Amino acid sequence: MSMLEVNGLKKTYVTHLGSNKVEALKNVNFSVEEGEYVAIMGESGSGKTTLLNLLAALDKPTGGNVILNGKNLFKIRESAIAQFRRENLGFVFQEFNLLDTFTLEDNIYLPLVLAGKSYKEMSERLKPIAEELAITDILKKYPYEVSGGQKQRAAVARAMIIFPKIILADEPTGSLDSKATDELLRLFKEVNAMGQTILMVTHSVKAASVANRVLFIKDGEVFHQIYRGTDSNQQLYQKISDTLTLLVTGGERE
Amino acid sequence: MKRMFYPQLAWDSIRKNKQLYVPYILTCIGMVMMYNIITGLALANTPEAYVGGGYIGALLGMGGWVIALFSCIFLFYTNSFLMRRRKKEFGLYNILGMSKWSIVKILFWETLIISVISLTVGLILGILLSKLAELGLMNIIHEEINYRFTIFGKSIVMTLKIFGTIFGLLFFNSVIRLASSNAITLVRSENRGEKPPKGNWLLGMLGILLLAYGYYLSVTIKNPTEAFNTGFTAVLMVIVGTYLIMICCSVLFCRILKRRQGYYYKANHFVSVSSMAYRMKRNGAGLASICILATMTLVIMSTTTCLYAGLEDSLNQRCPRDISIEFGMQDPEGMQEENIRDLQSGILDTIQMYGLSPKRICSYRYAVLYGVLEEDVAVTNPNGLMGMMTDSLGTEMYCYCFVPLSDYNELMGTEETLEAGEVLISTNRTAYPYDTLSFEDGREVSVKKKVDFIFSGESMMSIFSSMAVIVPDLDAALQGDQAIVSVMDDSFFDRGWFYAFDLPADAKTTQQVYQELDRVFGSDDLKSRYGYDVVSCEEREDLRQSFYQITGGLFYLGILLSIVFLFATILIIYYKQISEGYEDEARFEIMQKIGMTKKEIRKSINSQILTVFFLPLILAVVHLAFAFPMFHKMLMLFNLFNIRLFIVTTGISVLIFAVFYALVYRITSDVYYKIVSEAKQ
Ligand SMILES: Nc1ncnc2c1ncn2[C@@H]1O[C@H](COP(=O)(O)OP(=O)(O)O)[C@@H](O)[C@H]1O
Ligand SMILES: [Mg+2]
Repeated sequence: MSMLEVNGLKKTYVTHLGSNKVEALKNVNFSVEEGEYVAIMGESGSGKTTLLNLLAALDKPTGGNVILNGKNLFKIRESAIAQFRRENLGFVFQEFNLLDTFTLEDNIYLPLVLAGKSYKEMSERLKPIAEELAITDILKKYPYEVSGGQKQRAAVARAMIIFPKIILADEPTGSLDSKATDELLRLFKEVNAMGQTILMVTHSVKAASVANRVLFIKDGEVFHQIYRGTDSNQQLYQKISDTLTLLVTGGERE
Repeated sequence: MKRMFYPQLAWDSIRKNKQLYVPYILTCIGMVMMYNIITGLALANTPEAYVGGGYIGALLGMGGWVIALFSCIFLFYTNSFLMRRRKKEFGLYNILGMSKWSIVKILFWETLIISVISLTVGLILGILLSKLAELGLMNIIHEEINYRFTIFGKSIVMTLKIFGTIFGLLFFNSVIRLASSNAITLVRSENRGEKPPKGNWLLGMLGILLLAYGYYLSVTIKNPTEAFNTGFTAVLMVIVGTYLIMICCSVLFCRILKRRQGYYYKANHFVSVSSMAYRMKRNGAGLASICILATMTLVIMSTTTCLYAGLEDSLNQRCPRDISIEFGMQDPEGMQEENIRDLQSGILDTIQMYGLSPKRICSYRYAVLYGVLEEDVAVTNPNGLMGMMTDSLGTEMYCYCFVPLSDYNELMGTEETLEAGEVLISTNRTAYPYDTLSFEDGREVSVKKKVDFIFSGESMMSIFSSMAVIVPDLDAALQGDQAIVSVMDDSFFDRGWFYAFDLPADAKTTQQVYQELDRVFGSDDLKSRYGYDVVSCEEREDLRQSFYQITGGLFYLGILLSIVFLFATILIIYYKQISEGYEDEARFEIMQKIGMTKKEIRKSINSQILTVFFLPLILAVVHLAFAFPMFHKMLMLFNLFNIRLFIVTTGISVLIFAVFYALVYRITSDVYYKIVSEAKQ
């Protein structure tokens, strides 16, 4: 059985007046195996964030289900969802979403503090992660004192410290310059190599070309997918670009 | 079409920011209404309306200025809250190509709309409620007020002038703020990264010291005159101390909490401690202001209520009988027993004309010497006195009232006896704890007993405390080789005879007797016959009227100001929480994303709001508790010694204040929670 299974996921937004309906996701099906590194691509407005929010149980779908480790996400009681989230899912967002009232260290601890872990346990967990992400020296700083790349690495640490089943990343490189982007993508690759499952949403070809598999969504459905196989990043990059061209010119679904 | 563009935009933005503007407009309306009512009343209370009307009119007029000034400060404060919130919007307009001039136009229309609404509604409410306010005042001061229709016009014009100016100033202030910022800073003004402040130990310690010293001063004040001088210093110290403590110590406190890992890294402390620490510097000043304002309100409420509720008490102290007459006698001959007996029969004759005879008679001769009391040493020597008075303004000024034992025994119905060198002592305000009393230019006498005494109206009215010294013989005490004090030519010395009695008659007759006595004994003829040179005649009923005016006027003003301050305090907190709610919106959204439950959010919000809300209130109550002895001493000047009454009025004031406070806490935390949790939807 796959680690994550998405079956017939559907999401329709009803705007305030109730007259306008936006069908963000129509019928999304895919699955992710343990240890995979999957990128989801699509144009702006194609429903990537919507999909991720559903996977994170931050929102309720109109139809379909999501099964994580054999557990149906939408069958979990409302009161237990937050706990489920902080025990199983790690998040990395485009806007970092660090709290400016906390130091980077405290930001990273936040989910564990909520889970009631002791300081000793938290700092022991953080040590290797911080080393890996090269943020040990800046842990005592506040978000506004560090660069975007460093902020994003702290956010990755916050996602990793809970030892999540899966890391969900929404446009993680969207706010970074090219040097910080390369750095982050390299880190994701390393983390994945250690066995961490990652699902990353992006519209950047460069970011997607690092993944093991790339899914394309269009019109609320999974339109196409590419496996890396034995391709190099460069080759995958080319394949993705070609697919995107196809997407824009309105090619048929395979 | 084009012409209506700016008014429409202004109106829309007011409506869009309802949560901010509704309380603001309500405040403006409230202030306009209060000002209009109080100026109307001030104009209606004239000397022509009733005797003493000038006093009430002036008092209320002063109250009007207080409200105007306060409105100005307060509206500036709340307006700056609004502007901070709106800056982002204006910045966006600016970036989207709207010129600053156009934004100024929007601001102008906004100000205009708000001022027209507040002035119209405020004035209408003011006029509607003025009748009620007038009735209230009449009931409190027991006078007929002549509230003519013309007054409405005048008070409306005054209100328009004052508040027109305030709104104008607010507009210019906004424009200046707008002009001095560029689009980028406008857009980003709200979420600039900011390091949590470092607490300053030195300033924090200074704050604690100032507060402690202020408290110490208030608690150790010995007499009412001192309460006014030292009290001012104490109040200043407490105010400065409060600001320093709120700003510095709160930051330090949070930092200490943060260092305690076992405490800080707990789900229910983590978020609240860090965001408190983050905000304290900015919040400290605000919280301190709230605290000071709350203290001020509580003091005004409790003292003026106590004054009014204790009116009969202090009237009885001030005027123990229906009618009293006091004769001042330069000539020692006048003090001879025969002369006094003649004077008394003269008085009795006058009363007899009305077919009445006096009851519960008080009669005693006295000699009065002013001086300073230092521990158990009385300094009455004029040279020494002058030096001390300039040294320490009015500290422990006393009026020593020497009374012969025979008069005392008759007055109180006692049978005390005294040896030479012994005295009985009675004080009217502050207790005298020593067993001996020595006069600097005289002798030491032993205090045989501390006793009760009926002080004359003169001494109760004086701002100085009085001490009755009952001596075996008045003449011997003041002159000769047995004298216990030496009286010099330029000593502050007086002597005389006090006579007071009740009349078993109705109010009207009593008044006639009083007027007749005043007339008869005011004549020069009688003065020379009986050897007195000043006479003062008082009637309790007559005094009661002016008491109702004085304390009633203060009480009424106290109520009005308390209402204004109470609502101001509450509103400041409301805005504080709302603007924090907007700041926290994003923060709580993040927390929700990484796994904080709604319940945890609610809990963390509650603990934050609770602290922000009740910290100033608690500190205000502590201030009040320490200020209590000081204000109790001040109330003694109004001959209010009933400490139980003051405790009760203070307690009730705190209770009323706390109830309103708690109510607003409920509303505010709901609004705050709504803002914060809306983030997700
Ligand atoms: N809360 C919402 N209410 C209504 N419509 C929404 C909401 N969130 C997203 N949408 C719509 O759903 C579609 C998908 O949006 P989103 O998932 O954010 O796209 P992406 O992240 O791929 O850019 C868009 O058309 C967007 O306008
Ligand atoms: Mg998106």
